[in-house]
Amino acid sequence: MGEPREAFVELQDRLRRPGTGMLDRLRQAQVKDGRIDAEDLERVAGGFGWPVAAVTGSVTYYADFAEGRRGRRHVRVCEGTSCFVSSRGEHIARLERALGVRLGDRAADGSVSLQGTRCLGYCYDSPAVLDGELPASGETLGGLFGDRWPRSGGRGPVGSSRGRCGRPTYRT
Amino acid sequence: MRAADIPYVSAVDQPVVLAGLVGGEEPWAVWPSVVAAGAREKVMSEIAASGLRGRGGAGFPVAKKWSMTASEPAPRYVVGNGDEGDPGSYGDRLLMERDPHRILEGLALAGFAVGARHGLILVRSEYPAAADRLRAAVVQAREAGHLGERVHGSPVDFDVEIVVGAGSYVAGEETALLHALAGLRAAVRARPPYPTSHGLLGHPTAVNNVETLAAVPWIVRHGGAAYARLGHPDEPGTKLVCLSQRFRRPGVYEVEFGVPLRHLVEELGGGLREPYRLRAVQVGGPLGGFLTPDQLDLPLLSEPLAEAGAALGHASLVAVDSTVPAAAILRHAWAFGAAESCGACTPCRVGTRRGLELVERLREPERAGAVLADHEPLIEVLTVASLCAFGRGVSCAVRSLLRVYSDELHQAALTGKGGE
Repeated sequence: MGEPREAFVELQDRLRRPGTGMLDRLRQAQVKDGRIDAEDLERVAGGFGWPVAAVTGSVTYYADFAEGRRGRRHVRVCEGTSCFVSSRGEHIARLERALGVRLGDRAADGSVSLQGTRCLGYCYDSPAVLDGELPASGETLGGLFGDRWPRSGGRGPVGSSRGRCGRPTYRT
Repeated sequence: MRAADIPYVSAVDQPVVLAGLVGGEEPWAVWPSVVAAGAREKVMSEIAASGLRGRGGAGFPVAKKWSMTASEPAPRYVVGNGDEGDPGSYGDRLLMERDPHRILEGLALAGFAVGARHGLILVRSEYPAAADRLRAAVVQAREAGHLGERVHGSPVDFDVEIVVGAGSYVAGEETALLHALAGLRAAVRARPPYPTSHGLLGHPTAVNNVETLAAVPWIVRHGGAAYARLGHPDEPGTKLVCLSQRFRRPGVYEVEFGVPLRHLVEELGGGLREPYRLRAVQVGGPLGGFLTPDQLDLPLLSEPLAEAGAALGHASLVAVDSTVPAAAILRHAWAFGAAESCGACTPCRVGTRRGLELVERLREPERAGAVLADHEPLIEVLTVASLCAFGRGVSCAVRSLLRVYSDELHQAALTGKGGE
């Protein structure tokens, strides 16, 4: 059996232009309106001399690009094991209520989006979030939403996200 | 400050990886003289004598990896793996944020040893501060003459590029990491060929975890023999171990290989904070495994832990207390697998989703017994047929979890409570 060939890797070598700037370039495209659309894909692919399919492959693969449109405020919440053990997902349900947006979604007015991630590396002070690039950790998330969290069953738009067993649903 | 700083302690007499943070050893102490003297053989021989192995989880001998890379035709690359994806681990984040120059010096020494002119470090996007600190450190290192052309008056050119990932656990696997660096989907490919011959853009590449690289300057400075005296004869040296929030004293601890896990859990970690009671310890992240409290006399060594069904991995210890139901932690394990499988191979792509479907059926009392029985063939397929360590590791972790929580899960199946 011959050695495996990787067309998109070989292309970069032929072009003598590594794609090490690709993910940053895609992030720039995403900043504009929270998503990477077909025009962005063509523009970015053209800039790097790649087929659109190669760029589309990356955009549909990575969680930062593939998991929905971002809001102007983008919050990443940790779903790692220590955060799970420390709150059993309660911190996620509370964040949903505080932000008024469900995990994995973006508010209709584009003001905020909430992404789950594994993990943010604050396992010593779980749970944790990244509000943009600002980290917050601990039971009250460093007071990010004040010292008191919105309580369960409040009037938040996602107050219905409780599971049938009376526990907050945890995305699986 | 809304996020707590990482607590860290070196529990060894001579800190190695934490030499800069607690030992007062400045970075870039050996690079200028080594590169100016052209002492490539000294670097290689000290690393070989140290017995240093990869600290990312695979444990491959570093000197062998470097020799294999150096024997291939130029251009060659060296890569630092800063894609610390294991939930429970944050030692790499500590090093990248607080002592980035030590990692850069280790990468420069690696590049010098293998004859590479370019080094790259992939930092995960979940660690924005780490990426900022490393990028700033690269600029400072260039200004100080440690990186660039004709470094310190030598004929050596070496520079470093920091690349930020975009959210993928599997990107920590070396072939996937190389795809991510190139901006492509971070899917795994079959090995061989190994990156030492077919790496970045198809060229020979030595990929090392950033914790591994952080040990290199100390070894070159103090000698491989000094490093080999630390730890255990089967596994010399030190390791950063991360203890999770449920411990009374969570944090990063540098310890010597071979210490009993009980020492980490009870003496360094101080046991669990009140009012919690230890039910299980997850060792080595989602590809590691779960141990019961009565297994804590096992040593921090790869083989005994693997034999006990808990791969050492990146050496995180996540305490699971007795309030967490068995089914919830089982669902958490499968959910991680299903979310993070790269999809390159069918056993892992389909198998992790199948596992998640199975565990959801634990809610149906009449099917709970069958669900547990159906786990065995599924785990077997994942363990035997997965393309990389991800599918194999997830299945082994689930197997250990089923063992540790066997009584609770079977009792739940009998009583129809679904483990909740």
